[in-house]
Amino acid sequence: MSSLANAVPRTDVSRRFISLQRRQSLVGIGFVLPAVAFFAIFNFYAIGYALYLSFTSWDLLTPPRWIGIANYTALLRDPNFLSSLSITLRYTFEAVVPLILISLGLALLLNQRVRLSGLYQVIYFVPVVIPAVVAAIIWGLLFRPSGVVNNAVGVVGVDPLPWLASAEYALHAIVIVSVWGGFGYATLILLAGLQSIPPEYGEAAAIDGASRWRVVRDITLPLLAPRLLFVTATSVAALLTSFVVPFVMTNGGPGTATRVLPLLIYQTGFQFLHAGQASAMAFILLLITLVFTALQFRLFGREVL
Amino acid sequence: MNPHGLLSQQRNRIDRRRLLQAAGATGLALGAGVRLNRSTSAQETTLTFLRHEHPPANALEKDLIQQYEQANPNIKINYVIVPDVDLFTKFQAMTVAGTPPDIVNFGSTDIPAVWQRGLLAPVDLSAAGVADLKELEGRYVPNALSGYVFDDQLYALPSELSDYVMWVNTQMLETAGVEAPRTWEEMSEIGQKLVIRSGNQVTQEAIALPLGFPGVQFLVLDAMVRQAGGQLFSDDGREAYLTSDPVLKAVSTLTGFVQTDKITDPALNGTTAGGDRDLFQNGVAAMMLTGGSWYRGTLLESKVGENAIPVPFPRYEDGPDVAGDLYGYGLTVGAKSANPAEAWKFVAMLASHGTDYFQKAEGLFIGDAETADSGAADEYPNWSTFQDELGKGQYPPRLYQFNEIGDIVGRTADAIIRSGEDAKAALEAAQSQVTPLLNS
Repeated sequence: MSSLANAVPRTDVSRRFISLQRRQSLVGIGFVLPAVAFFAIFNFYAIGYALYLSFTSWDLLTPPRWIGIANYTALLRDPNFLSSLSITLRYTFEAVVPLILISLGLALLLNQRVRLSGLYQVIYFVPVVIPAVVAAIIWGLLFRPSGVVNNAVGVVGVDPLPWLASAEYALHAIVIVSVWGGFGYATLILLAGLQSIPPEYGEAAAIDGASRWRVVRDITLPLLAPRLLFVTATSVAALLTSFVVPFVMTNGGPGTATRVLPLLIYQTGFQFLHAGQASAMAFILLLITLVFTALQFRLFGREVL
Repeated sequence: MNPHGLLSQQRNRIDRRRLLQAAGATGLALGAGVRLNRSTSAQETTLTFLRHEHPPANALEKDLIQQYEQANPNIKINYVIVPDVDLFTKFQAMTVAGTPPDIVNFGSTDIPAVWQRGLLAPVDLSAAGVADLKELEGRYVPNALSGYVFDDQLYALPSELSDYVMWVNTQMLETAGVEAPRTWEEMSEIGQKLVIRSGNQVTQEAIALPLGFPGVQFLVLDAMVRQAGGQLFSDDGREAYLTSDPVLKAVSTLTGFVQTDKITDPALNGTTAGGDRDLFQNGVAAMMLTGGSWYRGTLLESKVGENAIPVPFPRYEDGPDVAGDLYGYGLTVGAKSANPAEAWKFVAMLASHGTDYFQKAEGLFIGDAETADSGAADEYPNWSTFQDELGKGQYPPRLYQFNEIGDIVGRTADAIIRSGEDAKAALEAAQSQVTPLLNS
């Protein structure tokens, strides 16, 4: 008898094949479902509810009352909000530039195959693993009039500065702490990027007479662009939403000199009983963060993508 | 069909059936248990009592709660303690979650906001054992209840009544050969003799100011403005007078201490609220303005120890005899409490232990006349100072948006005093910010 007579009909094979695929899909869905549920509840639902609240007047004690876009229009004329926004942007720019430059410089140095580079990487990463609250408290002590920072500047002949007691210096103090807390992570990311660049490119350029600076500028940095974009974008987003350091170190003072937007959002929602207005502020901050991220993508060019 | 396959199918069915039976039995058992528990808890009333952290008072209240529960077996008190700065946030979180506490020990400046939103139940006078408010007022020192009366009804029983006096380090004053200043004008002169510098750094300041502490700054400023013959806000909280001359005078006085007389260094205050108290407790400041009778307990455990005494809050030489602002905490019952009668009975019990609070919590005074005139008060060092000052102080205006207004006023004062901003311009800006937040 022909083997064809014992062959399984095509329709049965198709059904089994589809069923197996479907089963595999279901298994995959089952695995990701807990994570999706977690994000759905604690992220998407929370964001959606916050968006709804931004159109209400709510004091957290009585039911919310729908007021349309009144919160948003009021914020555009609110001097406290505009002041905090300005402070936040200034703080972000002042911190991100040195953070990237220091991280890049350290990564380039560590990429030179120096001795104990592994140990240096660990040391540079220590600020990242110290909890922000602990770091802020310790730095608050270091910035005291008789603290280590003033002792250090005294060595170069500078009189003690009223770091956290002065509207002029308080923001700089917070910038220093933020850069200190973030450079280790950025250095590691950039170092990983540098180590993934084939050394032959640099060697070939050197053979052709390119200086070390030309190699860095024309070969290393362009190839490092994706990591630079990642580090810059994440650092800007983190700085725009920074809360712990300003809250612990100065509580936004002296006066309102260091009251960044996340701190104002917290105070507006929980202390001043304007949760709806606070939600509107949060969404404006979200939009600003997205705009900055998009700008950075444009700045780094299409090659990255 | 393969007989082995059939047997296997039957086994599977049997196993599944047993599993379902077991699950059903477990469910029934759990349900019965829950019903049993419900019926047991239906006879027991649980009251949630939210209070701020104050170790001596908390220890006393735990004892009182234990005694109360023994005397009332059907009552269970769920005692929730949080740091003072977190109390209102905790209350908000519990309210949003649908489980508002039955009893809350609110700060006196928070009560107007909560009352205005209809969240407080009036005091059950019968639980307090009185027929009317007048009779209850007779049990307290003058003004003790005034901060908690709204529309002629009382909404809280005081759990703490205090006012700010000036604490001075007797050792430092003795070393400098000076006495405590009685007026703000004397403060400048005496303060110069109390400051000690090491090179460019101040190692001992004459007075620690409550900078970076908006709520407390408000109380100090409010008292000083009254002493200068004016007010920050009208008593009904509907008008603001931030640009008036008395306010300018008060702010200028404090600015002078920092910028001109240099008898205080804001840089020493540190980064946390209450830095002025830390400076005094650590022996860095000779005088401090934000401690009540309760502060003695804190001082006894600090570096200063017994070397500190309370003296009257300074006045202006040609101004009215006004003491520091009254403030405190009040025990309230929520309007949505399922058991208001039981809650007020428990509150009244706590309020009847004024002398215990005073003795066991190192001078924590709840405002009752019995304690004020008792032997316990006589034993408290310098109690007459507190008693005199309490009689000359006033509660701050009952602002429904106190937190926000206090923050604006405090930060404005900070900017003027610390950073030397133009006082008139800053106060005008503050006036325009607070106007929409006033009581209506």
